[in-house]
Amino acid sequence: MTVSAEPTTNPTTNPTAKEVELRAYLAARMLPLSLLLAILVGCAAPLADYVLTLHSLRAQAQTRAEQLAAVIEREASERPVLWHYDTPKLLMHVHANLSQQVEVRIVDRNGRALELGRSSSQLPDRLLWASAPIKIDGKPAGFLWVGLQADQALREALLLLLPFGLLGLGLALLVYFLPLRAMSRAESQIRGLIARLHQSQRALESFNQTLEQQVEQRSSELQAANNELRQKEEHIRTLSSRASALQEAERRGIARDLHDSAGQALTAIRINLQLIEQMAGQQAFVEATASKTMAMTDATVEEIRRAVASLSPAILDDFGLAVAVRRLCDDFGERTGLEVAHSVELSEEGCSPAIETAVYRMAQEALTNIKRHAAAETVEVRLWPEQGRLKLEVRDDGKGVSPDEVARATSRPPEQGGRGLHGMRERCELLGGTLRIDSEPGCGTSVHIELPMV
Amino acid sequence: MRRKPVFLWAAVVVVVGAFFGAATFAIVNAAGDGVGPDPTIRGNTGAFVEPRGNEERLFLAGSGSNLPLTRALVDAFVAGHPERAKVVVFESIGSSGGVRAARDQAVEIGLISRSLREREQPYGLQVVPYARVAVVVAANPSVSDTNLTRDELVEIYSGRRTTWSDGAAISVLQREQGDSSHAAFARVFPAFARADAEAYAAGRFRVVYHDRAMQNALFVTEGGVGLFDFGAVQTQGLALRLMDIDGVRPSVVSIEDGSYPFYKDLSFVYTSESGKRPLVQAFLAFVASDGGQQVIRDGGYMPLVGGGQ
Repeated sequence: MTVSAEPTTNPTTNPTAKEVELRAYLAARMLPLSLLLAILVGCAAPLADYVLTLHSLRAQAQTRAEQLAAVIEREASERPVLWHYDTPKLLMHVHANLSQQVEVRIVDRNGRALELGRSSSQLPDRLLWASAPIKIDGKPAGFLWVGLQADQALREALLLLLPFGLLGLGLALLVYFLPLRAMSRAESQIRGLIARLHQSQRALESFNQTLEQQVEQRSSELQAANNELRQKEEHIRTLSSRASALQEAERRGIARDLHDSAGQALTAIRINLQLIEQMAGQQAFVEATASKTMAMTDATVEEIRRAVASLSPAILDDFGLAVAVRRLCDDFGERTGLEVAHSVELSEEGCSPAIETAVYRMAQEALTNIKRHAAAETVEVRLWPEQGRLKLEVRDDGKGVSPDEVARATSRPPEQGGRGLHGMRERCELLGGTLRIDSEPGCGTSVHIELPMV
Repeated sequence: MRRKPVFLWAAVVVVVGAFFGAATFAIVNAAGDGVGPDPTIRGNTGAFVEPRGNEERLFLAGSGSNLPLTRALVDAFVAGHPERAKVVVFESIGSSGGVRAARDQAVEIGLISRSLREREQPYGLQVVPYARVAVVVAANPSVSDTNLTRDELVEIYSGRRTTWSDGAAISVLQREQGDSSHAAFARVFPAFARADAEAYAAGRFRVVYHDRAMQNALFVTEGGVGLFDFGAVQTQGLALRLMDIDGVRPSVVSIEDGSYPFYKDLSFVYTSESGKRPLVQAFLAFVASDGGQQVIRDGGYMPLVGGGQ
């Protein structure tokens, strides 16, 4: 059975007879069954009638043979020697009272047929024979055969064949065409349903196409918004970088002012105080006061110097990032007593001031963290350019921390217990760079910083 | 792809085949084995009596009408001749049976009470008429009537008259069609022949098939009447009522003078081979002798010595 409802390649194709073949399928199977029904109904009754009639004729022949044999026996018992010659006369007259469809034959015990005095040249065809023994004095003397014509039975069966054949044919036609008619209706409905299904499929395909177009349009719009967002982010990053640069420039200005004005003034004050000290040597009090004032001035000068240094590493302006990092490493080694190895390679193009300041500050912060928390003995600092980006690596052999601790430290500002790593990451991301910290307890810590050159 | 129901067709073929196979079996079973008597052995196949060889004997058999006279002749023939002990007269087998038995040489001499029929001519039998006997209307001894006219006889056989003159019921006893006694009446009395044939076809009366059966039936049937042989009555001294026909009493004299027209001739038939046997020749010679002629006359028969066909 084939009921095809698969979507066709051509959406305009309608269901055809090849797609819905229920009627042909049913017809192919009902035809042999209907033929079988016609044969069985048409032939069963005539055959049964023929068989029953044959049974009846055979029983009649048997009964008649036994009756005639009894008559023959009675007569033959009076003439046991020549009964063969007397019996024909008897039979001839017995036979005259019987139906003409009855044939009688007598055969003696040696198989020889008696001459019955009737014309027996034409023995009718299709005879049903039955026999009965003829006994004389209790001994078998021969057999009497009675034959009845079966033609009438055959004619009756053939006559029955006509109405029952018509009946069987009618039933077969009903059995064949009624289901086919119903199946035709069902097939028509199925074809309608399939047509509707195809129509729905086409509508669905159209809807899918529309939906894909909408998705594509929305994707395009989203991509545009994303690009715009990225541009805005880049713009914000530029503005931020510019703001950082301005802030740095402001700091350097303040530092330069402090250095040029307050520092110079304090230096002059100190020189004056030193002259006063030399000239009022006899006066212990003046001397003491001047000394005290000088000490206070030195402390102030040192304080200002540290403040200036903290506002802007003047060494960057004076000697550049490479020298500043080397100097930072050397000063850190001298100050902490740790063994600090450094490798600084920078291209001639250099970096923007904001990048240099950020790298310097993050190197400072990393060394400060080592001093405070790592309990390290050796420190290695590397700075080098790679594919347009500037990379900084600070590695120690300290006690290290767990990755969870690193994650917490990078996400927690210093006021909440962080180690300055949060500020490093913010500074790094603000400039479009990345910060990565590798550390395991007992295995030291590595800080990897990557920033754009410009 | 639609597949053809090959298995369904195969199943249909199997069912139809089984159906017709079963039907054929039922028909064959109902019709029996279909074997009847062997058609190749129909008709004359020779004698049904064992060949006699060179044994000297004289068997005689045939019509019951011949038997009383023939037995009287045989008794006279063998009287005083112990060597003729092998002469036997069998019970009635009818004229036709006598012809076939003589043809087959089952007997040496067949006894017939009619002439040979056309289909019996080719047998080449010798026919020797030896006596003529009146056919009488015999009745049960209780019947009081002694005379019947021809019309009354026709009325009785046609069923229009059913009682005797004393009111007793008439019970007709018929012989089978072709019987020599009926033939003797039919030969000279066509109206009787028609009435007799109609009664026989209608099954109106009781039919007996041998002279002895007729004889017994006439004795035991009240009001019974039938055709019988005058010679048989005379020879055996039967106390039957013999009817005069139109006032003519049946007797040797009346048939000799022709006043009584209902009679039949009794004949011997034998093959030429049987005719050469000494005992047959001796018997035939005895019948033709004065002694034999006397026996015939004494029995109520008219001798036909010297006659022949």
